[in-house]
Amino acid sequence: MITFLKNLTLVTLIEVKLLSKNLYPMKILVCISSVPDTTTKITFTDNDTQLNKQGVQFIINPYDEFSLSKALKLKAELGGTVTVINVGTAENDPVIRKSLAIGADDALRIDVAPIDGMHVANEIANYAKDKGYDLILTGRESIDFNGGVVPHLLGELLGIPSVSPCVNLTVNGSTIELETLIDGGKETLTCSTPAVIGGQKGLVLENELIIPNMRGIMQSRTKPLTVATSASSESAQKVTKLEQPAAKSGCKIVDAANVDELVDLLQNEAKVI
Amino acid sequence: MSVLVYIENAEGKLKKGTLEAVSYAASIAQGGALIGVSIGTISDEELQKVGNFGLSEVIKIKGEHTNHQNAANALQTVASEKGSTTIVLSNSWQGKGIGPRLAVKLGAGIVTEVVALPEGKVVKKKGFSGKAFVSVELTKDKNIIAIAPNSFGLKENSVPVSITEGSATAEDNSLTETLQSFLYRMRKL
Repeated sequence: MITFLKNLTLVTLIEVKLLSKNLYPMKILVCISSVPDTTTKITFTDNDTQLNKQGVQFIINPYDEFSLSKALKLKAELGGTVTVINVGTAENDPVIRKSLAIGADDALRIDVAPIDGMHVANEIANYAKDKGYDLILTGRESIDFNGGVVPHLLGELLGIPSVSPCVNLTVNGSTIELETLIDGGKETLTCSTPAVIGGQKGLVLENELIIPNMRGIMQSRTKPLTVATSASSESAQKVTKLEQPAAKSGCKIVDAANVDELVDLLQNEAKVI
Repeated sequence: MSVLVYIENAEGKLKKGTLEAVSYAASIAQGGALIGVSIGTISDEELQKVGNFGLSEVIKIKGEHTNHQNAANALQTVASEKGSTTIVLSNSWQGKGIGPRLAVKLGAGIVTEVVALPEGKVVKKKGFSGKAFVSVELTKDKNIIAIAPNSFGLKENSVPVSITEGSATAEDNSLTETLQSFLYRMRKL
C-alpha cells in the first residue's frame, strides 16, 4: 500500500512537472514497412512481376526507423504510447516484432498484401481516423517502391497537416515546430496536432537510432501484435514488370578541344544540362 | 486526353525539371488539350520559355506557390474546370508535396519518379533505390504523373504562348504555417 502511494505521488509529480512546461503525453502511431535489406541484390520471379524473396533479409524501412526512434524519444520525454502499424501479410511479423523490441508498446498489422502507396494510406487512414492519435509518423518513403506519397496522402485523407520530409521536430503542447526540406534549402513550419510527419535522417541522428537489447527482444515476444482485416481496396496502380537497369557503359573520354561534343553528350545522353 | 502541367518556379525562375515536365506533358498530349498552370510571382517573359517546349496555353494564379496545400487547392480548381485527366509535375520537393494532396482532392491515382512516356496506361518508374525499374499500370481514370528529374530530357518544339490570369487562387488556408525559409545558396552571398 505504501509503495503504491509512493508510486502514485511520483506519477502525479511527473505529470505536474510536464504540464507546467506545457507538455502532454502523446499518443503516437508509427507506420512501418518491411523492405529488403539495403545490400540485397535485386532479382525477380513470376515473369518479372515480383521480387524474388528467396534468401532476402527483410528489415524495417530505414526512414521508418528514424521515425520510430523519434517517437520513442518523445515518449521518454513526455510520456504516452507508441503503437506501430504495418500493412502486410504474416511474413512481416518478424520486422514488426523488431519494432516492438526497439521499444514500441504494441503493434497492429492490417492483414493484406499492399498494392501501392494509395492502398497503404487508405488502410492506415481507415484505422487511424477515430483513434485520437496526436502524431502519425511514417518514413518519407519506402526504399523498395520509392513512392514517397503515403505521408501526404494520409494527411489529406485524415484532413490534418502533413509535413514530409521532416528533419527536425519539437513539441510544445499541442503545437509542433518542424524543419522540412524545400528545393534549395530548408523551411521551418509550425502546425497543431494531430499531424502526419514523414521522417528521415535528422529527425534523430544516426547514432540515436535505438538498437534492440536482449531485454527488449524478450519483451517483444509478449507485447500485443493485433491482426486486423483489410478495410479498403482503394489502389491506383498495379505492377506489370520489374527490370534491372542496363549495365553502366564505360567511361567516355572527350578530347579537351572538343567542347561541342562534351556539351552534346551532357545534354542529350547524360541529360544533366 | 486532357493534360495539365504544373509550371513550378523557384524565386520567379523556371527550373530545368519544370521544363522537362512541360516537354513530357506536350509529348503525351500529342496536340490535344494541354494547359500549364503557374502559381505565384513570375514574369510573363520567364513564362514565355515554356513555349520552346510545346506548351501554348498558360494560366497564371495568384497566391503563394511554396505552400503545397494552397497550390494543391488551386490546381484542383483548374483541373476540375478544364476536365484534366492527366496532371504532370516535376518530382521535386514541391512536386512531392503537391502531388499526393492533389490526388486525394481529385480522386486520382499518382505515380512518382517516372522516367519514360506511358505506353497505353503503363508507365515506367524508378524503384528499389535505383536498383530497378518498375512498370506500373494506372488503374484510375485520372492520374498524376511526377517526372524524376534528369530522366526525360528537354524536347524542343517552339509554339507561341498565351498567358491568362486564372480565377482560382492559392490564398492561405493551409494547415501549416511557415515561420522561415532558408535557402542554401544564400550562404554563398
